[in-house]
Amino acid sequence: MKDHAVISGVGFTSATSPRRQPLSKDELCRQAADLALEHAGVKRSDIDTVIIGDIAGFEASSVSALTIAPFLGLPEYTNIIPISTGGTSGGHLANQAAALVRAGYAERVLCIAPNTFDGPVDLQAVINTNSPMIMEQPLGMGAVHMGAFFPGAYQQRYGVTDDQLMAVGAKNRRHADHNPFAHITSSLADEHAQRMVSTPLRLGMVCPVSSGAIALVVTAESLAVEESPNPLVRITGASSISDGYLGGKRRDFSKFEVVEHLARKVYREAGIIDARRDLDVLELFVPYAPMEYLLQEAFLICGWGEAPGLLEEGATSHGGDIPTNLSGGPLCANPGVAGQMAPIAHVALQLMGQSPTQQAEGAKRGLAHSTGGTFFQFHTATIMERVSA
Amino acid sequence: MPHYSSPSVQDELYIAGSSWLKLEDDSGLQLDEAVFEACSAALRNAGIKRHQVALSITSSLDLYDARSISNALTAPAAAGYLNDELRVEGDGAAAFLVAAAGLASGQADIAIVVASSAPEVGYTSEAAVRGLQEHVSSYTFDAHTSRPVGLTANTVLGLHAANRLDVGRVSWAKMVESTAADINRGAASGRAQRAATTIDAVASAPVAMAPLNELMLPASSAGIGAIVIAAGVAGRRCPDPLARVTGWGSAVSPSPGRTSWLTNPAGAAGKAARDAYRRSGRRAEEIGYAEMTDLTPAMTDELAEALQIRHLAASERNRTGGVRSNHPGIANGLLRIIEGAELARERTAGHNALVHAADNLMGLTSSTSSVLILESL
Amino acid sequence: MTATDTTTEAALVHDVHWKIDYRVKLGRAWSRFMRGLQKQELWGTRCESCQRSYVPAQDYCEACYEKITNWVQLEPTGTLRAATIVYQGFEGGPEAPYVVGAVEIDGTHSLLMHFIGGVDLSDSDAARAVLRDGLRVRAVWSDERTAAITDIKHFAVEQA
Ligand SMILES: [Zn+2]
Repeated sequence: MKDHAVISGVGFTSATSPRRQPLSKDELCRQAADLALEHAGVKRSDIDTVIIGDIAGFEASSVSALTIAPFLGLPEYTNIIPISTGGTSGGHLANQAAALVRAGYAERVLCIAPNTFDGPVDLQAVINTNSPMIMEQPLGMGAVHMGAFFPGAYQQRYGVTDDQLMAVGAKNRRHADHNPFAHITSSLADEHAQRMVSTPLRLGMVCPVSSGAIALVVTAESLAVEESPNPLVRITGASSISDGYLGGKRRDFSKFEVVEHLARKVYREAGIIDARRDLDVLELFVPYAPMEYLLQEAFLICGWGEAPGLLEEGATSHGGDIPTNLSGGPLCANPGVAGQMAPIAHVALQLMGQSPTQQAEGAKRGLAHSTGGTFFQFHTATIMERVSA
Repeated sequence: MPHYSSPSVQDELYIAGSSWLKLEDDSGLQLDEAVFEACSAALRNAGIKRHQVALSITSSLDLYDARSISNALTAPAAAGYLNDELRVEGDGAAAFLVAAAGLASGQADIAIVVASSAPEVGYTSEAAVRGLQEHVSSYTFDAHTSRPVGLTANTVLGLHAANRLDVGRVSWAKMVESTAADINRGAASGRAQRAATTIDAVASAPVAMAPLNELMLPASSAGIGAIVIAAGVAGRRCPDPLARVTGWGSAVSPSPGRTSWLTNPAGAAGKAARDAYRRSGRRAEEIGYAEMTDLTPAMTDELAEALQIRHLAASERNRTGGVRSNHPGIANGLLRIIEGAELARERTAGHNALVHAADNLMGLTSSTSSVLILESL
Repeated sequence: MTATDTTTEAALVHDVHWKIDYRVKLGRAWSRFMRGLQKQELWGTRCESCQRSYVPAQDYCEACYEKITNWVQLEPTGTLRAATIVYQGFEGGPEAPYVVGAVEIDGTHSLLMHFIGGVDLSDSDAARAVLRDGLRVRAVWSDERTAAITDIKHFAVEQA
């Protein structure tokens, strides 16, 4: 049965730091799954496929989907699809679930986004193994340093100040004050926030390392109509993109050029003509604060170099016309694959009118994004639309 | 459980082209270069240009590739540059089904699937590749309960074979005989990892995981496969598609903690096959050839039973020797599909072939079985 | 959907280690590229079909998907397009502070990522003012060269 795919249930465990997390990854995933199933109004035995994301090297097990799945209590022979694309694993989970449902290959898919960062003893050293081993790793390029390239070029091209970059962090932490699943809020000390990490990134512009899991249930719409107690949120656009491998392939670091490609593709699929008008809420994967500006511009919300102005006029805060990262985004909680799927989970709840964060009143259509790989080679986009009255 | 409707015209999927690159010690290729070789050969075979491809699906493992997020290196080489891309951390046949779903969902008209088993250990001999596969397999088992007690994929295969010998469901002599026959059938084909052998040589091969000896284990090899899949008219307009995919199914076998992986290890294959038959509208008796992944000769009969292909003569099963001739790790599923599709291209229109793949990441436990039914054109 | 809060007695922690030794092949293009560096030569490739150029060299074109056989030797000079001064490095990495830059090698479409050396980093604002898009730089070769990307020690500001 081919059908539209809807997000029918969302489950978040609370987020904390890996050090304070008393639960194992298996337990957290099961807890998130239980919450999502309950929210969707379905039983474990209704699930025909589970999609689980991981990032190899961060886990205690290779293909960790295979060790997590047995803890979910699903029926024997349930399909397990392990997805591993680095920082976009989480975004791919829901997109792939939608593809399976639309194809008639599955009817109720459970997406599990585990906490990824609990295991490694030296997390930053592990993250740094993600940079191209032979060409770029020997040059002292870790994740945060890759994140620093873009804002430096952006500042120079458009005359953006350090304070304007920091303003994104401050706005998102203010949003996070209202998110019970956030781990960092506006209580972050200013002298801490100002410490320079890699120019122009300061500590207050860099995501924390968090622990927590998230699950989604993606269901064929005709079934969800019958069984889900929630307004139906249809996935109307689901796409991904890869740039070249080495950082030098990015060409113009003042823009996320590859996201512009993705935006055109996913907007075409979802029938979006004017992004700022047609979208009501954005959750963008922003592990480094300035990326929010570059992403808003590449997603065609405004012109090049205009995003700082949107923040200053309040358009991207709660109550503005294009609220962005009402959850606080990864700057306030980044539990790895769970952090990558969090944008989809938060947009879905906004469109259901059930946001645990500040609700964007009347939000009907939203965009969620994830990114990863070296120098943000990979991105995913998911457009969701409320189809219930 | 899902209820399936009959296949619609929109679900017409074609295997438009394929290629297999056997990796030797002196290939001299970096991983992405090898992926490019395989993918460009598959596109040429399909008569399709890269710009027609809108979806690129990879099956690979970072721990084979010695790189974190190894698909970052290979995606642009797999026609993924500025395209929709995804890496499935599992068998190539599972990746094939993800690509097929992408087409059936309307996401794309043409997809490429690449499965890579190119272990970065410097050598491609059976011993070198198996060494890494077993090492990584150990890391795939749970770190707290299974790994410390020595479980690997091949120890699980040994546990199963021991049980089947103990209960008299298989005989040692038959296992030796079928292993020799498999290896010799494959040795005549171009992709073999093992040279021709004799029954005596098989009987006296070094024991690996008692009761299984080295030659009864899958013939670990290195290779990269690529398949171009096209939907509807995009497939029919290809110059010489290999086969039409009429049915598919997949299911995962029980985890190590359950008893059913040992009592009924072919259960997942059986479920996948039933789904594939139902979707294709074909009956088991209509299947004329099968390409299957019987990981040891102790599995062969119960797997054939589960796939409902016992009626097939030995010559109509695994004509190139199956996994005892060549088992390229997680790329095995794609190799089995390529073998099945190449056969389908040779047979007359309407002939049906069944392809079964199962990964050997954790032996017979937590293993994804995928079944396809291919129709000759 | 509700938040959950679980408090238990201290959970057990096991140490888990992975150790695998690999021998990674650099293949056709990067082997030739690295051997060039060892001889103090910078080589790239240019796609005959679409004219895109690649530094480090690549022997296939990911954009137009043709094989590339056209190797070109390049002057190791270029223009800095983006840079970051790393004040907090990482375990096993170079000693901070250091500068990583994206250099557009003259006559190519590629940016080569490398260290930028010879800039005083004691005052970060002053250093940032120097390390701007448009800065001309030239490769400085390492004395000990091992066919690795670090055979170029860094790119230094070119004296006018
Ligand atoms: Zn080209």
